[in-house]
Amino acid sequence: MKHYLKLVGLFVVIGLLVLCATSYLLDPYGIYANKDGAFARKVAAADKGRTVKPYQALNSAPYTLLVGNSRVEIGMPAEHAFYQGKPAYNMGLPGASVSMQYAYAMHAVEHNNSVKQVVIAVDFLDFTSAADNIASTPDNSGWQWRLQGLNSDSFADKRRYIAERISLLFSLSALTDSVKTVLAQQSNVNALNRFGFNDGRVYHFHVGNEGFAALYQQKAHEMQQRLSARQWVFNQQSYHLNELDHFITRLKKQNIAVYLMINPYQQPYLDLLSQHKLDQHLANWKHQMAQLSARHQLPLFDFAIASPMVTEIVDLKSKNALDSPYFWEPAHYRPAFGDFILSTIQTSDCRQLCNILIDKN
Amino acid sequence: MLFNSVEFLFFFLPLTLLLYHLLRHHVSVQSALFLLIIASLFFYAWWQPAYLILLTASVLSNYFIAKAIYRYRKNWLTALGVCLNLAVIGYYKYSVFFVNNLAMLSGADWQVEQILLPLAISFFTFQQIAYLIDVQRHQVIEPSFSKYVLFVCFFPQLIAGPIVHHSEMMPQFRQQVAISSRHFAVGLSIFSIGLFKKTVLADGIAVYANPVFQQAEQGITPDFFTAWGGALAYTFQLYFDFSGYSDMAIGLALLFGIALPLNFNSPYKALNIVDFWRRWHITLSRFLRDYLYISLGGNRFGFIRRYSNLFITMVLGGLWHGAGWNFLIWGALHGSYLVVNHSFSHIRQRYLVFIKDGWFAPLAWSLTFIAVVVGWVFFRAPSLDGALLMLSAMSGAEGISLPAGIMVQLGFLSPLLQWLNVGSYLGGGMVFIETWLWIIALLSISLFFPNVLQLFYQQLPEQTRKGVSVTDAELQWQPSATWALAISLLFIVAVSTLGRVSEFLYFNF
Repeated sequence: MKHYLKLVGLFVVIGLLVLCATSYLLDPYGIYANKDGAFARKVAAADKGRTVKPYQALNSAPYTLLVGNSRVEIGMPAEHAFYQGKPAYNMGLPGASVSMQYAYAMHAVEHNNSVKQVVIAVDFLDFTSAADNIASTPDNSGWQWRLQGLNSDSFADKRRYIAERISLLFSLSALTDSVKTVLAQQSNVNALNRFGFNDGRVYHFHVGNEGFAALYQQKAHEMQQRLSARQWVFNQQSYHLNELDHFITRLKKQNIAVYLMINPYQQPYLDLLSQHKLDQHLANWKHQMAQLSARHQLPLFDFAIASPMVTEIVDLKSKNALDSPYFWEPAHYRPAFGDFILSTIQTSDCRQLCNILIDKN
Repeated sequence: MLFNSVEFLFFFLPLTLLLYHLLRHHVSVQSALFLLIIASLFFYAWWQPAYLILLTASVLSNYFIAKAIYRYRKNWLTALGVCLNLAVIGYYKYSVFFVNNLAMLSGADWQVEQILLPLAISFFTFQQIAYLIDVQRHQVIEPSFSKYVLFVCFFPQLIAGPIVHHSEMMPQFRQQVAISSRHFAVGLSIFSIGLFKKTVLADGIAVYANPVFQQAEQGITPDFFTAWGGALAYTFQLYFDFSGYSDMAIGLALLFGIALPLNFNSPYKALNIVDFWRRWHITLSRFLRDYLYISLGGNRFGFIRRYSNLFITMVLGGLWHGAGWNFLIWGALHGSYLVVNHSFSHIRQRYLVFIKDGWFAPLAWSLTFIAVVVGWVFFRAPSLDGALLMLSAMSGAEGISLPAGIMVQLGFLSPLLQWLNVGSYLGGGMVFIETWLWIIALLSISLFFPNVLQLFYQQLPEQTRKGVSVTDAELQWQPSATWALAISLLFIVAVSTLGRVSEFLYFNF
């Protein structure tokens, strides 16, 4: 029996080491390796952006930081002249509140002296509140501990942080995600690279199988549900604008070049906002955004206008992804459009793509 | 403290084990038992220190009431002791339920604040009620206070059982059994299997059960396959969660040289409900039989009294799990199942002798399993409406549909699917496949794998095997390199899930 116990001890130690080594070498979340290895597509990281992006950003030493929600994550190109040949990190966080977007970005800035330019992409709905619940302060308790790390005052938060860091190297999820990373390199599923860019391959898959109609219907259904569930309003008393204001102030204090832009939407998306009586709120929000950018002496690039690319009618029956090169569905633009956005920001030349909003008051 | 937590596995357990064995070998057995008491109280207090006072008060009062019962031999003392215990559990567990229902019936505007349920109150209260009754019935008493405290508070079984009987624990505390490397090898192996069952299997399938029940609770009607997927996922989650916990308790106790009784014996292999209750939560069934069913008269007064006693016992057994109509319905359902089962067995023996076990077994198993799953829907759903919606969907009344991606793959079956009026919905294909793969895998394990008792039959102490019939399994654990490797793998995989949020379902009871 003693021999058996010794063997169990030995196997457990060896097993733990093998498990950690596997996760470290295959790096399923793109947080350890400094170079793209054989498994550059981090398929398991695509739905864990909120967990892995702060750690990815620490490792990537970016010169440019892209900030926003899923539109930025999916829509911005991984390579562009705007990045000046230096690393760019995509901090787009699907479904995240503005306070989360900016806190994550600030965390990346404070831990990387390398960050010199930040593009902030804003979305109208991210600045709205339920009419019956206008919050003047955000609730950050669900994720703040991750950014505070060991500096947190709370023992429970420190414990949570350590547990998460360990689980990214040693856990059943890390092991299965490592296997998934190897097996699904060529699959039509979304994947992040180690710079936070999402390749959006699942869109290719859905368009190829069901056509653009499926994506448009799904988005329309999702938006209808969201907008019908509660009365949404843009209210200046809510915390949203203050968060952005505070974020820009902190960036400028660190002499970081800031670029502020409003994400583009296709017409069906803007029509839905009108249906739910939000167009006046949208106009008011844009006006407030213009005032805010003026206070910081920044141009505000508004891509949420009826530009030719936005009004272009997509053949919904088409199963060819090339038939709609700029949008996957009304809310999510493709990297080809992101490419135009960055070029516009770089040159400050809107052509017909955007308006540069300047507060006239 | 959870068994599957870092603080338990890497701090509390190693430290307690080390100190226990040091004291036992170098100081005295009594000092080691004192350490176990302190460790058990610390283990309990980790969750909510304030309720340690309640546990201590309960142990103290029951100890002295038992002494009084033994000394004066008065029935009213036993009644007082039982009533005091029931009053405490009644206040903490049932007062809100009864007051709210009374208010609803009378139309009164009474409001009672929800009371935080002290952990393990059902377990330590009923264990002590049994003790008081046995002191009265059999005139047995435990003179040592420390051993009595350990009988109630021994940390491996304190929180979620097995519900132990004083006659199987006290002698072990007195006998001072020499603890060998065999205790460690078997205990560690059983603990690892239990840990794996809980953290990998139960927690793994839980993610496919919880959202379905939550949706039903919000009034969102699931379709036929989603409802069955959710109900079956919960069926296996509960089994692997609770049996995993019981295995861990047995394994942990063995590390301290103590044998705990078996609590599960592959219940989903049961071919009828009577058999199911001989295999599921065995120590609770034993408690209900010895202290409730028999006290009500058992089978001594004809079949009508027998069946009504059975029904009442199961309804109260349902309420033991929680204060709510769904638990009551679950208990009543199982009470009815048992009555039907006993009646059918009686009729079969007399008039249906042509029914042979061989061909009847698959039908009997299916019927039993479906009946159990239907019961679990009430057990899991937070409200009656949620449970009824789930059952309605499971009956097919809410329509049958499949994810569009799967419908495309099943194109060759389209005439049949059209005839069955099967619809489709966007998305959810991967979840659908994962749900059913998990269900198939865990059903196979439940039906075709030997359980802990079978695997370790030759190694387990007599107390653990007592009263449980088991067929020998070809696969037997041995202290070999192959088993060391297998157990290590289970342990490593189980430990690698520690970062996940997890709780034991039976902590709620």
